[in-house]
Amino acid sequence: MKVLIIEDEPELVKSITQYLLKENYVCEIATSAEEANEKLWVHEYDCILLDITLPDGNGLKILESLKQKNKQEGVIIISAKNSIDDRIKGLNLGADDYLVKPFHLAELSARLAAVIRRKQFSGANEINFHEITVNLPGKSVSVHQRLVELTRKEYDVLVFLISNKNRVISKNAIAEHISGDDADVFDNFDFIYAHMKNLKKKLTEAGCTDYIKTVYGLGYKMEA
Amino acid sequence: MRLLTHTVRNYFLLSVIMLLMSIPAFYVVIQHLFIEKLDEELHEHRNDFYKSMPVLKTDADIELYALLNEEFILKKTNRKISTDSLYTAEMYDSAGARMVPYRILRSGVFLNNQHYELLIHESLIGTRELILVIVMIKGVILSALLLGLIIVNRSITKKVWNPFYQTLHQLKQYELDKNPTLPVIASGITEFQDLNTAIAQLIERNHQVYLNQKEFTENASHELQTPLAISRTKLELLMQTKELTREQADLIGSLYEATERLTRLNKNLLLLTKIENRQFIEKETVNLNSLVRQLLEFHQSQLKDRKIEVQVEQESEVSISANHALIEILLSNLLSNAVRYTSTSGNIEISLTPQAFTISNAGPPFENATKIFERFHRESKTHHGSGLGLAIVRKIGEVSGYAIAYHYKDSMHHFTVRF
Repeated sequence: MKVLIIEDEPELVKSITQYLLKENYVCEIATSAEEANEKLWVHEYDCILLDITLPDGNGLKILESLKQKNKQEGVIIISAKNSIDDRIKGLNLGADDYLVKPFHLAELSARLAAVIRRKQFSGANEINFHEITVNLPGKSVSVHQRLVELTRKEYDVLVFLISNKNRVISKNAIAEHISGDDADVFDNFDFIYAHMKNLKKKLTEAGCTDYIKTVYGLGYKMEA
Repeated sequence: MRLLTHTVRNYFLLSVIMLLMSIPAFYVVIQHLFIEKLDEELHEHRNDFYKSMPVLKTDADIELYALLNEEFILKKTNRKISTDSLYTAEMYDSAGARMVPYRILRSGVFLNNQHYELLIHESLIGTRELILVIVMIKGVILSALLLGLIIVNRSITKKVWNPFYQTLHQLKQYELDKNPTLPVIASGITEFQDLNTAIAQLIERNHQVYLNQKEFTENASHELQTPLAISRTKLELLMQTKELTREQADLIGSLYEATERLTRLNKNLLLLTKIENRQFIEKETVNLNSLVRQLLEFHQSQLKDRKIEVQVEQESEVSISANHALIEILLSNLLSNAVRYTSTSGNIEISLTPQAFTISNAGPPFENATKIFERFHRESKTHHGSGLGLAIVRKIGEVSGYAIAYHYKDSMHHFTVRF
């Protein structure tokens, strides 16, 4: 998978690259609009991470020209501006997703995977993780071909964990993932424990190996 | 008391005192002039008498003269009266049948070898009438003055002071965050013109300061986002490193937690600035019943975990025209707050009517109940709230025109939003 990261903040680029490299993505970097246009002219990518506030121009222009040329790359906008206008504008211009800075790397990785899946399999797809099969369009989960009844939140957490398999994922990242940006309410994360406990219980009861590990002091990990 | 009433009252008091004092002064002066004139007249009468003296040859002539000229009285006397004297005395007036004050010129004449005392008198009754007339005139002037003052007062209030009152009204209505300037009201009066100009300049300066401050908050929040993002992602990467000891994991966890708090704080500051900047303007019809349901659903596991019971009282479907994001943040913050400050096994009551949304929760009273809506005020140090939740609630109330109230009754906190 080839990903182009268009972002002018070198340290952030480094973090993203480092995280994505472990997921076997090939990352290329453009730190300005000019560089991005050059790279887009020559190469094809599976997905583009696009910061819309670049030193030499608005990233939305890149998106516009991309769509004019009828390129098929998936685009995720990463922006410091959490404005509804920008979000709508970006999505209307054909972006696949919109992520507000600061974001969790796990969240970025999950969204990237989702965009690539949608592009490559036209939406009708499944994720397989050992004996677990996730039917994405149906939002259903089965273990050993038997359906497991999960709540919407448990389903979301499971997909999130699988998308970041073998990674330590913080409680905050999980909380924000299942509740949107509005995680301000969770001064205690008891509810995350409750969801995780239920999810683990339901999966093991269906005969699934307990892949979800608690990482002391940090969060959770889906071990392959 | 109004400035104008105050001024007019003083003017009026002065006028009354002056007028009342002027009445005796007038009286004395006019009486003096009157008597002077009378004395002159009396002297003229005496001269007339001197002129007619040659024809008065007999006692009968003299008697006849005195009879024809009422003001003359001639009395025989044995001594010669050599000096004339003028004085005022009461005399009987046969016509009016009463004692009347008279001005009298006493002189002596020598007629038909006989000394006479000549008394020429003029009634002073006219001066009494004069006083009456003076008092009457003064009274008329006084009432005319009073009337005039009232009329002038009214017209001044209407015309001259009108711009002043308009400015005052504008200042009362003025809100720094809403209007950048105050429309200048033209006035012909220099002082008011100066006042208006000074106010306009003051407001412009204040607004500029306000804008700078707002801009600073917004810029600072934006600028903080990138280092926060870097810090967060680096910590996330650090978490992935192999063979972390417990000690290291603890340290990373604490650092990460602090970064998360910073991130939330920054996000809320930015949100507050955006609400202040009125970036949430689009309105739509929002069904509050379903919104409350959604929010409760969202908190469900937390509520269940802490055994908090929630009672919702709603008679009918309530829909209001509002910005969806704002009303959601408003209710969500109030609910989170209630959840946060309700002790385990406590209860929360929500009441929803077309007029108001009230959320009540059991809990010990706040130490600083007056400060709860202030930024960064936290009632409890054990909760990791941003300290901005209720400040955001108040700000949303301000921009949306909702009255937000808090009171503590029957061991419960009550927050009310009136639409």
